Amino acid sequence: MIWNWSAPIKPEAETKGRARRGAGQGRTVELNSIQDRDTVASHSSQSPSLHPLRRLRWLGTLLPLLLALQGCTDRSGSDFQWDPPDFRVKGTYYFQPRAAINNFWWSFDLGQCKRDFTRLREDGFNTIILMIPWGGFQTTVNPITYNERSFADLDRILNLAESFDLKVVLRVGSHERIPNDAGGHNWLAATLLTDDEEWAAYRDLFRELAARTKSYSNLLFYFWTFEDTGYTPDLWLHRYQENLQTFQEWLRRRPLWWWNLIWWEENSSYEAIEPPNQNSPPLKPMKLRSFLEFSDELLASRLADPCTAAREGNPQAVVSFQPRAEINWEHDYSLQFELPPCYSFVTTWFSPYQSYLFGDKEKKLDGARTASYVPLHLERTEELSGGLPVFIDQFNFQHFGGHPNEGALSSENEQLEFIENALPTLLEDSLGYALWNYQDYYLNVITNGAFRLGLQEWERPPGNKLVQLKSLPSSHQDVAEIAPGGFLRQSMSVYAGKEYTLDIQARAADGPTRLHILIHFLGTNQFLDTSIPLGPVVKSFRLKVPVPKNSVQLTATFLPREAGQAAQLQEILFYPWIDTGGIYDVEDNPRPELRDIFRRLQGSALGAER
Amino acid sequence: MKIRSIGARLLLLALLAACPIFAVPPEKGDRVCQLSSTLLQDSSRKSQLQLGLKSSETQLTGDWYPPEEDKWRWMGQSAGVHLGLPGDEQATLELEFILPPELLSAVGTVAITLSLDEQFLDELKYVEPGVYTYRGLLSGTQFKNPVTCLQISVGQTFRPPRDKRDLGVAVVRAGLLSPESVASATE
Repeated sequence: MIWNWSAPIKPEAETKGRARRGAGQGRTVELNSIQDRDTVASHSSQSPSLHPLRRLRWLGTLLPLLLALQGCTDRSGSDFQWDPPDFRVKGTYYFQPRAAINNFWWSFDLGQCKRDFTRLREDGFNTIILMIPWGGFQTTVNPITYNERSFADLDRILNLAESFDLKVVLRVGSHERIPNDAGGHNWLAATLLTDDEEWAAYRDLFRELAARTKSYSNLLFYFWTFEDTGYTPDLWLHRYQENLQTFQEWLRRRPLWWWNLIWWEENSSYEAIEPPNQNSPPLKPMKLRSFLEFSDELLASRLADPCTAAREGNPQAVVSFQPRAEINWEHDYSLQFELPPCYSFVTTWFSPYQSYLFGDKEKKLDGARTASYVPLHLERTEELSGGLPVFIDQFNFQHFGGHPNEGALSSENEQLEFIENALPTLLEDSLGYALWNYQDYYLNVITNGAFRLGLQEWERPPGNKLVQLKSLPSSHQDVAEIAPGGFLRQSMSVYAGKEYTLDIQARAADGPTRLHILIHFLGTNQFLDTSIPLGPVVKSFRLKVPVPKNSVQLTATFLPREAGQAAQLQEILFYPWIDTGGIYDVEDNPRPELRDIFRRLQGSALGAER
Repeated sequence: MKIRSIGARLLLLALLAACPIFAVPPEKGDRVCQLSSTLLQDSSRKSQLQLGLKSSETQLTGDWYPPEEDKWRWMGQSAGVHLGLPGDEQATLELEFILPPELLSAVGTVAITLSLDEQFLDELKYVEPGVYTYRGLLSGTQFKNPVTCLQISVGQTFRPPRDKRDLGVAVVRAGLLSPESVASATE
């Protein structure tokens, strides 16, 4: 079902009139027991049961009282504070080196969590952010089904975090995994905003999650982000027919000649309008900007839902949203910052490349100067959001790719300088911050590569004889044993033209054998068949896999030589690179200077906490 | 007749083995890799070969057809390639070959057997046409000489219409690579 443009975009009253935060005006909100009167008001106003005349009479009676209470009911959001007010989130997204953004819920190790949580406290962190992938928790959209195992795993981590006195923040509905029947693919929830059925399911995830987690006193808040529902709409949104139709419908707000005039085009009808494509020349900045305005309104029209849904599941839920803090084609996405009253505060991120927002277009950035943009960024975010307090979900000092001309801190010393100067500002003037990664991780694209979930996510021959799960006597870990004639196969998305690394730990079950890893680069006629000799001892193999320039998807099939013996697979990692920037590397070695600066500025859990 | 002495039994067995009726016949293409002792020590042999080039012929043995379009060369049932070693430790064998749709249509599954210096190495089976790169991790102990011979044998050849050749697979290149460039193994 296509999203209906006749739905109200956003009532003006919900988006205007926020006051800037003033000193001493803050209202202390008890963590996880927030009594947000504005939200109650918001729910009431949405009740369809009141006849308009009755509503008027009701308002007429209470008008003097409402006017008197305006200071309270003017939902500026500026009143949100932690309890105690000087609490600050000093957090990090939580990944493990072998269980990161692509596959955390399929690969994480609870024992590793315990070790990590101890170390996080020692290093002065008090909060972890967990990604809640839409498809990892909601398996299908129609009918809506939930993955009980994922919720059970979430319970385990929430309980464990609580025992370490760690708060938890949930980033809900992330797109690294989308439901089986949703449009697009993993990392691209392509039709979520234009398809009412998908959106209803997405909304329900917030309700379900809030309801299931309401008993956790260490759960700080839920948030969602433009990144998981739209990201850079000018790059891909147009590729889907549903989105194009919605765009053409949106254009009808103005006469056709108007669009033709500003885009320098000669379209004969709205249906004839082609979507802008920034990947193919000639670039049409005005048309791209129109497209961004359209996609912004699309997102803004959906903004109220996740928060309202979360409150349905847990009336005390604290919810935030992360708008796109960029300027593209002279468009600043300001509409995304105008959050409905249900939201307690606004979430944003800061990366050094965003210095361009403040006129600094240097490619090699200086640490101290870049740190001076952090208060400006907080101020900008606060202003755009009408005075909402700000939480920084990614305090990035490491450059994570992006446009070749993007600015980045030029050395590790500049990174340290940046942290030294920027962190005190965040501790003082924001609700807190989180790092993207506390520890480096393999950007692993294999799902369930350690067989923690049995043979889930693996294609295999019918029947259960040729591939079985077995326990190795020397470890607690299960291995997948493939008999001759059997195979395990998985498909995955890859970057075209990139060299990947395949790390595999395996051994022969009985006598020596060879394991073949047959990779088919889909969309091409190219195959790579790597054959490794296996013996009785578990060995690690590291293979290089160059992906052809014209392939973005591959299948990897693992099979022992047909006339040989069975092979046992213990763990498989497949990654294009290791994401660095953590305080620890993938082998658990600390970056001492980085660790020390965070310990010093945050205060260790063993010492005083700010 | 009773043969009581051990010597007589051994003699009889030796005679039976020598008799053409009882001896196991060598498979077609077997022993394409017999090397002279001079060649075994010829360390000037290239470790990587483009088989579509005419210059590769000095290192080929067995059933090979002339190169085509400077890109590949068809082999028959069994053929060999002499390869110099890239180093004296470990190496990875790399073999690129083409399995055209016509071949798969004719033979169903393509079965390829690889041997190194007459020692069985691996058996490959493919059911889809395409350009295949095979990489086999080898252990250093398999090399006894500066030159090794890779023998490639197919289970079944095919003869295309209006062609008198019996074709196995079309080989693009063969080589021994130092392992760090493509793969490595650790305990």
